[in-house]
Amino acid sequence: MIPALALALGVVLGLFLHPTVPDALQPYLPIAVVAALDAVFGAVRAQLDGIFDDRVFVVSFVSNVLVAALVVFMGDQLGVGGQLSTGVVVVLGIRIFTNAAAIRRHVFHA
Amino acid sequence: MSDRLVTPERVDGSMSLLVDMMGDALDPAYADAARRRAAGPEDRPAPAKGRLGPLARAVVLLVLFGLLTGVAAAQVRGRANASGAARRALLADVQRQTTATDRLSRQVDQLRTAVAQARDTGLGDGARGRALAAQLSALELSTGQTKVTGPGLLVTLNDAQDPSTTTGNGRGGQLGDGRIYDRDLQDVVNALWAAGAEAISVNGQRLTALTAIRSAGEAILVDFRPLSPPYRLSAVGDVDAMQPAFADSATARRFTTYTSLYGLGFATQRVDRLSLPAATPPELRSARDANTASTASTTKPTVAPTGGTP
Repeated sequence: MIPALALALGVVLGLFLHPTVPDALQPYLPIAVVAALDAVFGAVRAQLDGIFDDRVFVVSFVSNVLVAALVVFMGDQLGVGGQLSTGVVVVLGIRIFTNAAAIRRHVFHA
Repeated sequence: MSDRLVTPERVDGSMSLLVDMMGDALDPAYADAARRRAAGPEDRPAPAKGRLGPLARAVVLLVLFGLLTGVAAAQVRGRANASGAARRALLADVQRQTTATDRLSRQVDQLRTAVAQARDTGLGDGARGRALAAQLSALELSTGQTKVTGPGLLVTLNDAQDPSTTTGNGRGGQLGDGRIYDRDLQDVVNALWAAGAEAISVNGQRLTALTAIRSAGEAILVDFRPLSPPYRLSAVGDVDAMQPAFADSATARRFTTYTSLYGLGFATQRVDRLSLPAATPPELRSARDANTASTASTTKPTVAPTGGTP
């Protein structure tokens, strides 16, 4: 309950406070969000598996976001930024789906 | 981790990337942490004073995640709004200009009718005036300066469905074999004139003796207006004579062959009532109105020296 409220609070803050993002960071924001989403889904699944660990969550969240942004940044420097972001999105998307399926099995037993 | 290292070689060894991606979706660190916790509960000290508890840490992170998502969504929405506004403004511009053009062309039509009426009244009712009026209208008809209606042929030309279709002779053919070019249009128009057409228009552009059919890049220009396929050639004339004459022309036979070879669209159709618009009046470049020309000739000598001295 509290985590869900925290999530909603963050979304509302982000939508209404309108913090200005530096132009240089803008291309990496969507990728960072997808990476963070992967970490959050992993955390939810771990919670349902009963093996949730807050330290692992924090570390995986931060490292996911940084690595995803770094990979895309490197790609941009090498001229393959678009392709690399596609690759990152595909890999993270598959992980998110797999974790979401595990969560679904936990919740609905189906 | 160590147990994964000793797993026997899999048959699909080279596909391990995909399999790993699907199988290890959950961070293995969670399992490691759980194992460590089970091994020694005192492994982790209780949170020290001033440090965040496990729940608080997760909550802070989730607020951060929500913030990230919200900001990203707001950014995307802002960008979409900006580009959408520019697009809408452009669309409105185009629509406004199209309406203005329509209004102006209606005005041109009205003024033309008014000019024709004024001319007819100016020519008077005398025999000489009537003869002149008849001559004028005949000339206007042949120079395409009036709207025309009558029975005729409607010839439709179209690019092949797949412009890259080849000749089918195995040599591969050239790209663009299936396209209609300006010279194709010229050939068909000439064949229609030869078959006895009295007035022709292409996609609503009336042809006169001065109309050019040429191409600029990929587009065909008729009277300097770009047209897009399908090209509809309306030819008014004596249909009974025109249809067999055109069907028998070398051009029509060639296009019938092209239809089967390249898949070009080529169709001829009898229409009882075709309506062709008037052509744009020819531009006068050298000719001047006699009244203004006389004043111009008198002013010319006084102007020329001042213009020539520097």
